[in-house]
Amino acid sequence: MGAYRAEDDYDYLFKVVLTGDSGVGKSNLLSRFTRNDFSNDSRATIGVEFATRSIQCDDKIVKAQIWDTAGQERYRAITSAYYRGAVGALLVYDVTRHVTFENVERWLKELRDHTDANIVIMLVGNKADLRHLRAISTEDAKGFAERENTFFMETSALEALNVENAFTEVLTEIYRVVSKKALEAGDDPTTALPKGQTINVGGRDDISAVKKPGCCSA
Amino acid sequence: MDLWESWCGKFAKVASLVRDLSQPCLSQPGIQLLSIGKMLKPEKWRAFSIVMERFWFPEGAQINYLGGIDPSIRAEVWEFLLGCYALSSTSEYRSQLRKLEGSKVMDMRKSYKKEVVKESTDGSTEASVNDNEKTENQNDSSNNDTDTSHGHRRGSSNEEASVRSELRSEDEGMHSFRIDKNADLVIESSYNNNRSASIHSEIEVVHPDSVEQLSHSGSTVEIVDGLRISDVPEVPSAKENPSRGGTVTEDRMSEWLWTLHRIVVDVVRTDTHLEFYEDPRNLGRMSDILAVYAWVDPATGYCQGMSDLVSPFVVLFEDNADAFWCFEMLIRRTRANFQMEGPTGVMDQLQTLWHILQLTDKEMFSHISRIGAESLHCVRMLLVLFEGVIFDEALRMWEMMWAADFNASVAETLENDCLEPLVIQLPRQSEAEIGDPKIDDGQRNSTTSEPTSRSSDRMSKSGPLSKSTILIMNRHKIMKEARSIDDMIKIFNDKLLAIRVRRCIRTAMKLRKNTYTSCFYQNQVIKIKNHTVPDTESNHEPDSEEIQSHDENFSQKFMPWSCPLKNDY
Repeated sequence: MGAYRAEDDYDYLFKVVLTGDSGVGKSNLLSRFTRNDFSNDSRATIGVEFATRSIQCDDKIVKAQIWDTAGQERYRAITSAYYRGAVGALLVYDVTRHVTFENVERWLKELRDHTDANIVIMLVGNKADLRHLRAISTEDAKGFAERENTFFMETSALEALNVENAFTEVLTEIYRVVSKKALEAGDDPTTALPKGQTINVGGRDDISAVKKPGCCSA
Repeated sequence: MDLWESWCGKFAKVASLVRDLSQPCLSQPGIQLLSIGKMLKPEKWRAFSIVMERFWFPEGAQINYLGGIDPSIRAEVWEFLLGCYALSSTSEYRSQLRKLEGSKVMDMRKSYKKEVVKESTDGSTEASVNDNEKTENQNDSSNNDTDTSHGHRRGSSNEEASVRSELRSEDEGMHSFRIDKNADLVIESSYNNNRSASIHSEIEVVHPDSVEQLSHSGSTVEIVDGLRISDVPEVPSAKENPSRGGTVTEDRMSEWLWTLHRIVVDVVRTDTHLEFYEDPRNLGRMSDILAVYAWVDPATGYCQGMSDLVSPFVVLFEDNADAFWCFEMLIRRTRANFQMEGPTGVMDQLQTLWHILQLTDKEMFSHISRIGAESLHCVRMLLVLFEGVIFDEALRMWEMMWAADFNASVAETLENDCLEPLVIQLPRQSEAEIGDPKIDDGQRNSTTSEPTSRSSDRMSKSGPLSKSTILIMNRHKIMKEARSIDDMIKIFNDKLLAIRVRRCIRTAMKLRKNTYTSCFYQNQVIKIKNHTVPDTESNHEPDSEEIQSHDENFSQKFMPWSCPLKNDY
C-alpha cells in the first residue's frame, strides 16, 4: 500500500463520496481509512468534510479524495453539489437500523441523478460489530446490491473491519475501469490526464464488464 | 496613550453610530449601554438593572457591549441581547411573562395529550399503555440484549421524576427515549405499526457507554434512565400550524418519531468534550428543548446543527424554559439556515460573504476564486455560528455579534437598511417589509411558528461579516497555504483558522461600516442606472474616494490588526 505518501505524489486522483443517512458512521469510516482513527463522539457532519489518502494499484499511485457529506436530507442541496465529478461512492447504511437501509434506495437515486452513469458504487453496511443488534441480514443487503448493480461489503469502522477493503476495492475498480479504457484508447492515462484532474470512469460497459460481487464480512 | 487606546479612539470616531455612554442617560431618547472594547461587568449591569427597575426605558434603548459579557451575568444579559425581553420591560413584567411561558408549555402539552387521546384508535391511555408494552416486546425480541431496562423503566417513573427533563411542566405520560450505542431509537423498527403506542411510550436513552460494554463484552447492559426526551409537547392552539392541527395521522407520528430519533442521534455527539454533558440529564435537557422546538415549528423541525446552537443555552440556563426561549430567539435569526427545502439562508450568507470579501480584500478574493474555493467549505461555520470552534470563544463571539446586531436592528439605522441590498441576488424587500420588526415591544414573542425570515436576514448579518473577517485575519495562511479547494476545505475542517474573537468582531464592525458605505454608493449608482440589478463584476467598483482608498490600502488603513493591539484576554 502506498498510503500516507507525499500528497502530490500520485498518478491518479479519484474523487469518492460517502453518502447515507446521518449517524450511520460515514465520518468514522473516513477517519478510519485516512487516519486509522475512530472517534466515539464525532459530531454531526454539516455540509461536507474531506480527506485524502493514496493507495497503490499495480505500479500506480492512486490518490483518493474522499468527500464526507451531511446525512440529513435537507442538506442534500449542498451535498449533491459535491457529487459532481465523483467516480466512486460508498453508500453507507447502519446494519442495526433498518430505516437507514430503507433509505438506501433514495440515496442511490440521488447519486445517480447527480453523478456520471458509470460511477462505481459500493453499498456499505457499517457497524457490523454490533452483531446482536443487527437488523439487516447480509443476504438481504447483498441481494439488493446485486439488483442495483452495486458492490457490497459490511464494515465496522470501530473494529477496523473491512474498511480498508471497502475503499480499496472501490478505488481499484475505478482504476481498472480507467486503465482498461485508456488501454483501449491506446493512451497512457498517466500522461493523458493532467494531475489533479478527476478522471471520468468511462462507458457503462467498462464497469459492468469488470464488476464482480464484493466480498463481505459475514 | 498606547496604540490600543489610540486605535480605540480612531474606531470610536469612525463608528459614529456607536456612542460610548458609560452611564445610562435617561433624558435622552436613545439610551445606550455600550462600550466598544470593554467587557460588560456585573457592576455596570447591576447599575443598569437598577435603572431599569425604576424607569421605563424608551424604545431604542441599546445594549452594545462589543467586548463581551462577564460570564457571571451572561445568562441574564443574553435574554436581553437576544430579544427575549426588551430593555424597556420592567422586572415585574418580565417575571409575569416568565410565569406565563412556563405554564404555556404545560398547557401546550396538556391539550396535545387530549388530542392524542381523542384521535387514538383505542381512545384510552390504558390501551395505549398496552400497545406500548407490545412495542417493547417487539423490541425485546429484536434487541435481546437491550431489554433489561424494561422492568426498571416501567416501574421507576416516580423515582425518576426528579431527573426528567421537561420544560417546567408536570409529567403526565411524558415520553422518553431509549437508545443504544448507535444513539438509536429502539422502538424505531416498530413505530410504524404502533403509532398510538409510540405516542404514549416511554423511550429511554441508554447511556452511550453502556453500548460499548454491550458490544464488546456482551455482558450486562447498564441502563441510564436519566436521559429522557419528553415527547410531543404541544403546540399553542392559537398559533397552531395547520399541518399540526389535523388528526394524528400515522405519517405524522412516524415522522415525529423519526425527528426525535434524529435529535437523539445528534444530541449524544454534541459538545462531547464538555464535562457538563457527561451527565445524561443534561443530554436529556438538550433533547427536550430541541424536541419542543421541532414540535412547535414543524416547518423547520429539527435540523442538524441545531444541537450545536442549543448547547450553550443548556449549559448557561438552569431552567429549560429559559434556555428554550433563548434558543428560539436565536433560531428566529437563523431560521433561513435550517429550512426544509435546504439551507437557503446559508447560501445567501455565502454570497454576502464573498461580496464582502470582494469589496474588502480583492487579492484574497481573486486567490480564492482562482482556486475555485468560493463554494461551500464554510457551511458549518456559518450554520452553527462558530460553535464547536472553542466553546467559550464561541459564546463570546455570539454575544458580540448579537450586541453588534442589536445596535443595528433596534436602532433602525440607515446602515441597517442599506445592508439589505448587500445580501445580493435576493429579491428586494418591499417597502412594507422594510419596517424593522421591533424586539417585540417588551414581550417575548410567542409566535414561534411564524416565519420571521426577514428579521433573521437582517439580524444575522454579523455572521458573514465575522466570517469574512476571519478569512481576512487569516489571509496570510490562506494565500500561502490554500493552493486548491482541497487545501481550503482542510483549513476549515481542521479548524486551522486563528479566530481571535474580540478582534474579529471589532473588525467586522469596521467592515460593516465600510461595506455600508460602499453599499450606499452602490445604491446611488443603482438609482442612477434605473434600478439596475447589482452586478458583482461591475458594481463593486468603488464610487468614492473613500472606497477607493479602502480598496487600495485596505489592510494598512482599515485592518486594525496591522497595528499591534493589546491582547484582549
